[in-house]
Amino acid sequence: MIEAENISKKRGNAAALKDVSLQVPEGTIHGLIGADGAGKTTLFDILVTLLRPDTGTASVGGHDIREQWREVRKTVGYMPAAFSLYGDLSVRENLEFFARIYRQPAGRIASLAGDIWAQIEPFSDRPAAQLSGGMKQKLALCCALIHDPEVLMLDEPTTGVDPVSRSEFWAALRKLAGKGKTVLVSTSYMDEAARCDRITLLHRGTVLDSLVPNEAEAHYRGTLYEIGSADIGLNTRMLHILRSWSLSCGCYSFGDRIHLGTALPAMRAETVAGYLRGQGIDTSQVSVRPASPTVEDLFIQLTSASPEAEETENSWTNEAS
Amino acid sequence: MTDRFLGFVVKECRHILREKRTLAMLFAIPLALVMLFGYVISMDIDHTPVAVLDSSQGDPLARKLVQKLEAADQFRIVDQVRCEADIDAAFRDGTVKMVVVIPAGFGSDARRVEGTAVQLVTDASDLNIATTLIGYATAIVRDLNAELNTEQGLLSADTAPLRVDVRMMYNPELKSAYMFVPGVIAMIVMIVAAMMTSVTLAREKETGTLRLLTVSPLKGRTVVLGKVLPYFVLTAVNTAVIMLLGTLVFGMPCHGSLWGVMLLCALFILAAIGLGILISSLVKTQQTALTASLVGLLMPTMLLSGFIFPLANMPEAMQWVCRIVPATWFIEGIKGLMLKGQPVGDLWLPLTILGAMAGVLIGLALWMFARRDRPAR
Repeated sequence: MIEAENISKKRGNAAALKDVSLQVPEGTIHGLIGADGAGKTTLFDILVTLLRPDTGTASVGGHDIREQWREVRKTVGYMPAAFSLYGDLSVRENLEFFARIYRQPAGRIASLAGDIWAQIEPFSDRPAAQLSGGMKQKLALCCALIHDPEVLMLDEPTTGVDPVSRSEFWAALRKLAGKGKTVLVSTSYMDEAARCDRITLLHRGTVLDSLVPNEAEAHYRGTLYEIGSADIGLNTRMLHILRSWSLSCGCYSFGDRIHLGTALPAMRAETVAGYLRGQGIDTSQVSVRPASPTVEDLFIQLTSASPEAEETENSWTNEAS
Repeated sequence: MTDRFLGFVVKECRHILREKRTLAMLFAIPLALVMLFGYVISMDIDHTPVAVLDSSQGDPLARKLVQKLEAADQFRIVDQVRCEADIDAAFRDGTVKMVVVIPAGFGSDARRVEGTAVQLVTDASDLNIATTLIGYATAIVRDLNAELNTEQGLLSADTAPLRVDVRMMYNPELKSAYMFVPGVIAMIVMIVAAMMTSVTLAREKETGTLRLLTVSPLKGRTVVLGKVLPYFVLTAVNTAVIMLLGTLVFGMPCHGSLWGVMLLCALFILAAIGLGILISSLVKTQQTALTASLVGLLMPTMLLSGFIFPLANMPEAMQWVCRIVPATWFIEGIKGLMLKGQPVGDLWLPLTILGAMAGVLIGLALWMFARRDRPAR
């Protein structure tokens, strides 16, 4: 169980986190989605008690992060953003070291990490630095699990990891959540959002939205269209044309297609095609159809709106001071 | 505490033993220094260029002396020095290793009661060669003395009409090779104890393992002590190796108490480790830790400790700076104990100061890491 309420933290003069709140019940996976610099690592630092928040309260496993930080540390299994094990020590030596400082028998890992340990056990004698990206992260997860923590905090565990290992990693997290563990995981991969029970979209230190991943459509304002043709050159031209359209609220390439957001809920696909024809595009080979917004579409909509939000906020603080 | 502490020490030892190249270098550096000095010491004196500055205007006795010098295998008489002023230049060029100065009126003075003196001027920057040359030249002069006495019907041992007057240039204090041993130890201690400790701790910071350790139940002071112990042992072994080589190869004496020497070394090593930990707590990366140790520790140890430049020759203000360099007190203590044979009680000042430095620095390191335990602001 993780509960954070109105956490704020300044780094230098800039605010790294502004009024961030989140709740992660036991047995669930909570995703923290955001680009680099969104404040994910700062939030992790605060929740694992490496850093004190300026304001706000939080508790991890029922322990207050300010007063009971020693208990919090015993409750938490932590994986930092960068690979943080001893590269010159072998897989087994790394695990033995962490087992020893947590006063646990190293052999316990097989029952705690199951599949994950089985996957790296064949490389027991290899120096950790010589493992592949995926293997390194699996070893780091094993080291974080050695004391059977109630809460897991994993900061970008799948960054730089191949798709197959990523999938295996997420499967392992799901199993751990099934055992009743609370999992907070950050990622900058939007497609991983769907693997979470709930996600928080973080941008420049503020929470944009918090939702169940398949609710993205309900949180999206207006209508989303997917436009595309087999001709790449034509796609590029259409992208430019649609971006300067007065009805467009965000237009970007999405895979080999174009996603166009519009503020009008009742607009029809024919309106878009008609506009394109009016701009001299032959739409016979072009498909225009409404699409259901993904988390990524929602994130883009929310972040493209936020600079204005920030401006108004700044003018507010100016008036106040 | 003990179990976690031992776990940490085991991990540290694994790091040290895994870095085979570094480890080999730590023992190769002192060995290389020994070979270097050892080579100089065992070098044979054979046809060494020697000049004669004869002011006696062809005196027969002077000629006899020159003939005897020429006949010796050790010397080769060269014609480089014609006046007093040439001596310096000849030594600087290295074309001459010794100048035999024969005074005016050499032959006649030798037959008077007060006698006369042959001056042997040597380049003592190469002390081993200089003393060997003087030894051979003195033997030749003694030969000549015996001959003179027999000539005058005296017993050869009675009086010596020719005295030898030795002048050592460039090294009036007669520093010998083993005088470098304390300095070499000071440098090795700085490299192993201070530099390596600071780099390994900075690596824990840089790679993020220190964050994991902070979140773990491991206490900050356990981390510090877990670093101190293995590096203390490693440095102590290294110091013992250099001491042993110094004694066996250079013939460095140990006139004073061996326990005193050990205590001095232990305190110095602890102070160095404390400095290393302190540096690592101020920097973020291994690279800066390395640079900071080189500039902040190794340079002062070399230049401001009396190892290379004698303290007495420095300006007053500089001497005060030298007094805060731990190596200054270490070298003073080692010289006093081993070479001068002073009792431990006489060296209370270097011992106390090194002890205080070790105590304050390790205490500071413990305090700084204990503070890291709490969530940072």
